[in-house]
Parts: sequence; structure tokens; C-alpha cells
Amino acid sequence: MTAPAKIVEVLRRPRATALSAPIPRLATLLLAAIAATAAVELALRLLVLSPSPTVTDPVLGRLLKPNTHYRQSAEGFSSFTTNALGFNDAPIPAGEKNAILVLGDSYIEAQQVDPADNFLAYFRRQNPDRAIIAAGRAGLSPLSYDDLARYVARRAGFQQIVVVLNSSDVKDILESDVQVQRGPDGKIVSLANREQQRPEGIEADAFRFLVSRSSIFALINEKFIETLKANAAAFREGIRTLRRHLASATATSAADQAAGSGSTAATPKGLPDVVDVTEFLLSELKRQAAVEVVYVPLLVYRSGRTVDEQADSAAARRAFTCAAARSMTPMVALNEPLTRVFQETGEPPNGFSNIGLGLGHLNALGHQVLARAIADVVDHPSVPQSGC
Amino acid sequence: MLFQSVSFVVFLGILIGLLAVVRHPRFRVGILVVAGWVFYGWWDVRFVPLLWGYTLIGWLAGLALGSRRLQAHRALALWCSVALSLLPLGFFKYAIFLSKAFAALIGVAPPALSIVLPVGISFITFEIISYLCDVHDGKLKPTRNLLDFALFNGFFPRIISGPIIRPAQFLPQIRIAPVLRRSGLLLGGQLFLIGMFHKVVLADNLSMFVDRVYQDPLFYSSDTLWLAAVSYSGQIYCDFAGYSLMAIGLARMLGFRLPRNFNYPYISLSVTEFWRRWHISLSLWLRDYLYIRLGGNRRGAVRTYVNLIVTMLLGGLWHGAGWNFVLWGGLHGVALALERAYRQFREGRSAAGRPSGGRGAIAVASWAATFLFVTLAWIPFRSPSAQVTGRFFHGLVAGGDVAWYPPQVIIVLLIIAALHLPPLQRSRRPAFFPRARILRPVPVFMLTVLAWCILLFQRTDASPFIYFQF
Repeated sequence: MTAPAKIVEVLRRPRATALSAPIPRLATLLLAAIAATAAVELALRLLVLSPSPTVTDPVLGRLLKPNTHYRQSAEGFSSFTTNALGFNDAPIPAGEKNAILVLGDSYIEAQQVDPADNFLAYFRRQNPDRAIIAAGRAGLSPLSYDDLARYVARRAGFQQIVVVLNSSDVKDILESDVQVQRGPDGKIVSLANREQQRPEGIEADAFRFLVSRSSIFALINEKFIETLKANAAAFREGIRTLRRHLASATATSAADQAAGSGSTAATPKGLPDVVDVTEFLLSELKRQAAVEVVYVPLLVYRSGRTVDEQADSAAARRAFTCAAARSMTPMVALNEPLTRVFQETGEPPNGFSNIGLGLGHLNALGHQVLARAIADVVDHPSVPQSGC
Repeated sequence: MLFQSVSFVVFLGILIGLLAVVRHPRFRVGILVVAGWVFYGWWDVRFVPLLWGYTLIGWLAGLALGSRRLQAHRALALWCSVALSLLPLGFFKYAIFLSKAFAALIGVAPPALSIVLPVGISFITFEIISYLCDVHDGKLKPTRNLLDFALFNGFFPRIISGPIIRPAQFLPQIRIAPVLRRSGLLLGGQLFLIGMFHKVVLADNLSMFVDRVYQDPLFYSSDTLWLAAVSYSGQIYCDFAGYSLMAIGLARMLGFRLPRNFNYPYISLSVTEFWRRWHISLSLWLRDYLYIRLGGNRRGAVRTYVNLIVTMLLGGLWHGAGWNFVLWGGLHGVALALERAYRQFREGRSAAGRPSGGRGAIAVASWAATFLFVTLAWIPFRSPSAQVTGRFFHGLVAGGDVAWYPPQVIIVLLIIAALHLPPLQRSRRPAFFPRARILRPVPVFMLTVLAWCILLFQRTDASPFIYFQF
């Protein structure tokens, strides 16, 4: 029998028996599902999002991995490579001593805009003779900025520090577990327990392996992080309640007594505490270099080129202005320049095509405003009059 | 309990498990009835007695209409029972609207009323009315079994937003008893997945853009407003067609067949054709129980046009108690009347020996005009107020500065356009794969990709189905 005839013969044979047929069939279907999952993973990596590139630092919380290429499309579309310190910036020149160090959260990390369009690129184009270093990490609280500056100081020297604040920083301070110790005059003398909290959601230890290796899981983590956080918090609270019930009354009262005997006060309760904490933080940073503050407001852009500031943002701006005035720190708020650029161009300096214009982080136009403000506050430092 | 929620998945799992275990047909019907009450009560348990009331009144009225003793007063009995069915709808849905209109008419301040609208009340009412009318007309024998009627009235897959089912289609299916079959589960599951894709990936991603533009239309450029108008056409189609597909799929999983509710409405070449393809169950209901009962086309041309306009005005008002819905219904009514007049005029000329027109260019022009009309008519339907409608129309001509073209919106619109391509239109079923071929590598590959897309590209701030409010 010839080879083709054999093949025809094999194909003509009756199908496998009832017992053996389902297994290869199931295996084929499983392979199809796996192939589909692999195709989705590949498409996500190429077009939407890289696997999570974060590493956990005991003090600074989540940092991006050094020298890693990353793509995101949650807000705007961008891809960038982190430098040796894990920041979205060009490599820091060796022996740099006189740079301007810009500290901040997601506004300074600037993941949303293309690296060629962010404030660093604009600043460097406008001021080719000045060095600037960005140390920004999304979600980082101002409570960690002193540590952040020290982290950068291991690698590069700087003469000035520009702290970029926004209204979410108030929330970061208020919702932290920081403990405030005050002197006899009521002024803060130290802050304790201000390390960044560990990551939550499925990026916590159990799923870290998946989130850092798969774009599918990274996207699930990003999309459902708030829900997952809420579920995790509820779960933790449930465990705590259970433990309280299970623990003996004696042990509980002893623990309460031990906690009550400390000299530290509770977590800040409101904006007056934010003023005190920020004043302390700015004074702390001044030990490392001269400090200036830039405040990025949350504006609402409307038809007829009218602009309003959100109430939370206005309250935060007043608190930070008060802290800057008390600590004699130069400060500039971007309200007026952001409003002006919108009124002149008709384009909102916030927002991106995929989430909405006029909303969210600064876009390329907003980053130009930020770069100009940084240059301005460094060249013409002006301490605000007390608005307390 | 939204179809796309975790709680619904658990609910469905328990229900299918119970139906698989329980063998007795009547018990299975009972389980489905209770499931309907649980599903309905999940939103607001206070309204479950309303559902019971509807069931009881509809069932008793049906028996009364079928009774020989009432032969002489059947018309009166029908009017009374229909009026009784319409009372809750009138109170919950139109009390505020009517009180405001009346207050404006007599020039006093409207009373401060706050009434929660029970979900799906319009659909429930329409189905009861169709049952009563069919029994009255002798098309249907009244069902004597209260359990069967309770399932007809409270079948959960379609209780909130349809499709509006006819008793003659559904009651016989109950009598032959629902059976879980693997083929039904596979095909129904596939339809459910496709419907969910329409809702959570296509409609919800469009809604992010549309909602924002409607907040302040004059903020955006004319191009953006046109894109938003087209996007809303896509959003409402994917939202409602998605819900209908999920309902049809769920029913199929449970052993029932529901009628198709959408048939590529945006390829229509006329407004008349649009209403044959859009919300088919409502269109047929309006035709059979309103338009024909008003006289239809049997009382001369002028009365036909009036009937068309009145039917669509009431259809608009059925969607919501607001002048924007009345305007939307009125626009469609006038368009239907004009089309009918033009058709009759053209037929007269054709009969006189003139050609009735070519295909290609005229068909494209007809499609464009129909799509443009339908899209523009959605603007008052979507607008929260007359002011926003005015601003939107003004902005279409002279808009603001901000040009916004979200890439995901463009992609979604392209997907919707692709789903309307001729090869898919030829398919008689909305499912991608016939049930015999689902468990093969290519369908499994594609359905897995679809499932990943649903999980990964859904919006976490998703809104409920648009038609829930009606």
C-alpha cells in the first residue's frame, strides 16, 4: 500500500472509541483556549500595557524597576524607559552636582505623556545650560519626600529642590498612619511611622509573580485595584474583628495601656494638621538644599473658556500656601498660568484623548506650563504672604 | 442584580444547579417563578408585591374575559382590566410629569413629589395588556394555571427590559415544560457572552465619551459633537441589543425561546424599515395593540397619518415621562407619515409608467438620510433637558474649541460597523456559531478572546442598561 493510500485508510477508519475520544477533544479545546489567552497577552503587551514593572522598597513603597521599558495606556498613551534610579527620566549624568531636583508624585513621574513632551524635555530645551533631575513616583506621599531626596543624593548632587504638590497630597497625608510628636510650643518635632504602605490589591505578595509577568494580570490589577483594595480592607477588618473577639480581655487591655502610654499623638485629623506637617516637611528638606514649592491645582474647564478651581483643590492650595509662608519657602501656584493657556488656546492643559480632555493629569501643554513655572520659581523665588 | 455582576453569576449557577437536580416539570416552573421574584426583589424588595399584584390581576382579568358569563360585557371588561393594569404605570411613571404639566398649565408651582419608578414596569404592563387583548380577541385561551401565568409575567431574563413577549409565544413553552439541554446551554451561553460584549465593551466605552460631551456640549467642537451624536446611536444600540441578546441567551439556557429584538437597524433604508429592525417586539406591540386598534390604515390616508403620529407619540411617552421623549416619538411619527405619503405618491407615479428609481446611489442616499435622521432624533432622547438639546444642536453647527476624538470610541464604532457587514447580516441567528460547532477549536479560540475582552476592556464605572429607566 502506498503512503497516500495509507493516509486515506487511516482517515477512513472509524473514530476513536467513546472512552478515548473526549480526552483528545478536551485537550484540543484547552489548547485553543490557551492559544487565545496567549494571543490576548501578546496584543496587550504590544499595544496597551506592559506587565507591572514595580519593586517594593521598604521606605518608599512601590518603585519602578531601574532601566526597564514600560508601556501604559490608562491615561494617555506612552512608553518610556526608567533610569538607574527607577524614575521616568534620562540617565543621570555622572558627577552631576548642581542639578535642580524635582520631587513629586504622578505629576512628576509623568507616565501619561510621551518623554519627548514632558516638563523635563521642555525645561531642558528651554534651559540647555541647567541640569534637572526628576524623582517622581505615582502615589508617593509628601511624607516620603525627605527620604526620596536622600535616595537620589546617593547618585547625584543637587543645589535646589522643587517640591510639586497637588490636592491629592492632602489625602495622602491625612490617610497615612503617620504619628506626630510635638514640642512644648506645639510645633512638630518629629514624624514617625511615615513609610509608604505596602501595595494592596492583587499586586500584594500572593499575586506579585503574575502581575509582574503578565499584561493580562497587570491590567486586571490596574482596572480593579479599587474594588480589590476595598475587598482586601474589608477582609482585613473582618480578621481583625475576629482576632479581637478571640483575644483574651486581659491581653487587650494591656495592649491598650501600652499604646496609651506613648508620647506620640494620633494621625492628623484635618487641614490645620496638614499645614503643620507640610511646614515640618519643608523645613526638613531645607537641610538638604534650597527648597521651592509648585502647586498644581485641579481646575474645571468649561464652555466659554471659563475656569473654576475644585473646592478640594482650593482648600489644599490654601493649606500649602500657609505652610510655605510659615516655613519661608518660595511657592508658585499654577492656577493663573493654566487658566491663561486655556483661555489663549482653547485647549485644556489637563486630560487625554482616551479619558477626557480637561480631566486628570497635565498633558503636554500642561507640562510646558509646569516647566516654565519651575524655571520661574527657581529664578525668581517669592515667599507667599501668610494666607493662614 | 445586573447581568454582568458577580451576584448574578452566583444566582444563575444556583438556579441551573436546581433545575438540573429537580426532575418534576411543575417544580421546575415553580423554581423559575421564585427565581423571577428574587431577581426582581434584588433591586427593591418593596416592589415584589407589585409584581404579585400584576400577576393576580392579569390572571383574574384573563379568566373573566374568557368567561361565558361576561360575553355581553367583554369590551367593558377589557377596558376596565386594561385601565387597571395602566394605573400603577400611570402613577409611578407619569404622576410627576403630569402634575408638572398641569401646574404649568394653570400657572402654579408644581407639587414636590418623589416617586421611585419600579424597574421594568412598562414592559410588565405591556405584556399584561397584550395577554388581555389576545384573550378578548379570542386569539388565546385564558390560562387557568396561576403558576404558568406567574412565570409568563415574571420570567426574569426579560422582566426588566424585554424583549416584550407575546403570551401566545411563551405560554405554550411553559406547558411543554422547560428542559435544560447541553445544546441550549452552549448556544444560550454564547448569545449571553456576545450580548455582554455589546454592553460592557462596546456600549460602556461609548458612554464614557457621550456622557461627558452631553454635560457641556458647547465646550466641544462641532466635529466632536457629531462624533458624540453618532456614538450615542452606537451606544444605545449596543446597550439595548446587548441586553436583549443576554436575555435571549439566558432564556435559551433555561429551555425557552424569546423573539429576536434587533435586526441590524442601522442598515435601514427608511424610517419605516428602521422600526422593523429596532426594538422589534415593541414595534410589533405598538402596531398590533395601538396602531391597528386606532384604525390603522383602514380609515383613509389622513387618519392613517394621524394614527402613525399618535402611535409614535405614545411610544415616545412610553419610553419616559418627559417632553424630550414626546419630541423624539413625534419626530419618528412625522417621518413615518411623510414616508408613507411619499411612497404612495411614488407608487402612483410608477403606476403611470414612470420608473421607480435606481438602486445603488439612491440606496446609499436613503441609508444616509435614514441614519442621519435617526441619529439626530436621538439627541433630544439622550439630552437631560431642552436646554442641552438646544445647545447640542447649536454646537453641531457652531461648536466650541475643544476637539476630542477618543481612540477607543473610533475603534468601537469601527467594530459596530464591522458587525453590520453583509456576511453577518445574512446569518439568521445573532450567534456567531451554530450550536453544533461551538465545541471546536476555532469557536473556542474566538469565544475565549471575547471573554478576555469583556474582562479586560469593561469599564469599572459602568452605567446600568439605558432601558432600565423605561
